[in-house]
Amino acid sequence: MNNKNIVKIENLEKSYENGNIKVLNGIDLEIKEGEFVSIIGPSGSGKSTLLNMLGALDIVDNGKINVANYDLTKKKNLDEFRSEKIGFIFQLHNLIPNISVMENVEIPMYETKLSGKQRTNKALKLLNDVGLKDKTKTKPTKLSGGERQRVAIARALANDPAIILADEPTGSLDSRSGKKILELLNDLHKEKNVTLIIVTHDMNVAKLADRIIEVLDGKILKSNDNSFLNEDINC
Amino acid sequence: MIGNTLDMINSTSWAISLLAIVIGRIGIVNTMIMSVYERTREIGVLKAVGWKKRRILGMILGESIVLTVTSGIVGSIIGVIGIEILKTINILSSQMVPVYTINIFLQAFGIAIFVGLIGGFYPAWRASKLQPTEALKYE
Repeated sequence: MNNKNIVKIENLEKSYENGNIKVLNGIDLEIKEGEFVSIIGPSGSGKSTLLNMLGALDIVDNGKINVANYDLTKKKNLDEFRSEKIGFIFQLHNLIPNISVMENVEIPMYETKLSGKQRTNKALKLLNDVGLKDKTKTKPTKLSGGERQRVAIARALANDPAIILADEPTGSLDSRSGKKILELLNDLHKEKNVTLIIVTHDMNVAKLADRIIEVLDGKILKSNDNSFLNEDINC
Repeated sequence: MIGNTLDMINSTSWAISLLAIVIGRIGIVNTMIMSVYERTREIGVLKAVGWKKRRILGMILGESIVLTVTSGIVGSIIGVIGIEILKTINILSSQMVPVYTINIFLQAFGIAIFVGLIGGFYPAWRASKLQPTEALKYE
């Protein structure tokens, strides 16, 4: 981790239903390059919306948000930002079921200048890194939940992102598979020095992070290192 | 007199072809809208991993053209087989001799590609405009 901010958010607001449902209500946040951050909070607190804003999956209403030197309020080159800077891991994997594991990992690389052979080689290496080199031709539907999540991790790493955003990455897994996925994410974070931001309900997941951010009613309630775990947490 | 009759046959033939093009276009729009609808979540994933609008547009248009060209090939084969059957059972009059020229098939494939493009454009444009968060929420 270094001291340079990779995320800088000031007074971020987001509403839905023509402003009737205010989900983010003045978020201020800074995250350092290479930091591992967990975002916790009860359902509806705004943590997933915050993650979507960080990954430019949704548009900001008010406030400032700068991620990896992209001003996301300008709504320009958001696809380029997502392709080059962000790797997403979703709770339900979101793999494309009718293509192979290898093709799923190659998908983000279509927006790069890599040739077909380079894409294949890189996908092979990534699948090897996540322990799935013998499943390259398998369809995701034939894999277990843990294996699917490994494919999703390989896909998230395809374009060497600066930040990995994971929304409940162990939420749909049994505890053993979940533990393995977390170990893998933690290892990749340390090895590649990638900034890792995880949204979770699970305190066992949250406590692995360098810092835990607690969100409640669209605001940051606490942002501290994980030593405050013994205090009351509204999770 | 013969010239007038031939003109009338030609006009009727073009009118039927035009009707087929219109029906084909409606069919393609319907098929591609359904395809986009069923794959909303997949399109959301493609947007989330950084695919640009024009790549998604190209993907859907490409599928639409593949569909219409395949239909063109199947239609041409069925057309030739149909005419050969009519010839065998002597329904065609002796004055009507079917002629297969390369131009007829080129026209058919040209029209198929055109129908694929115009029929696929609206569904492709809709897919490219989807918001990633909305698309990913789709069940």
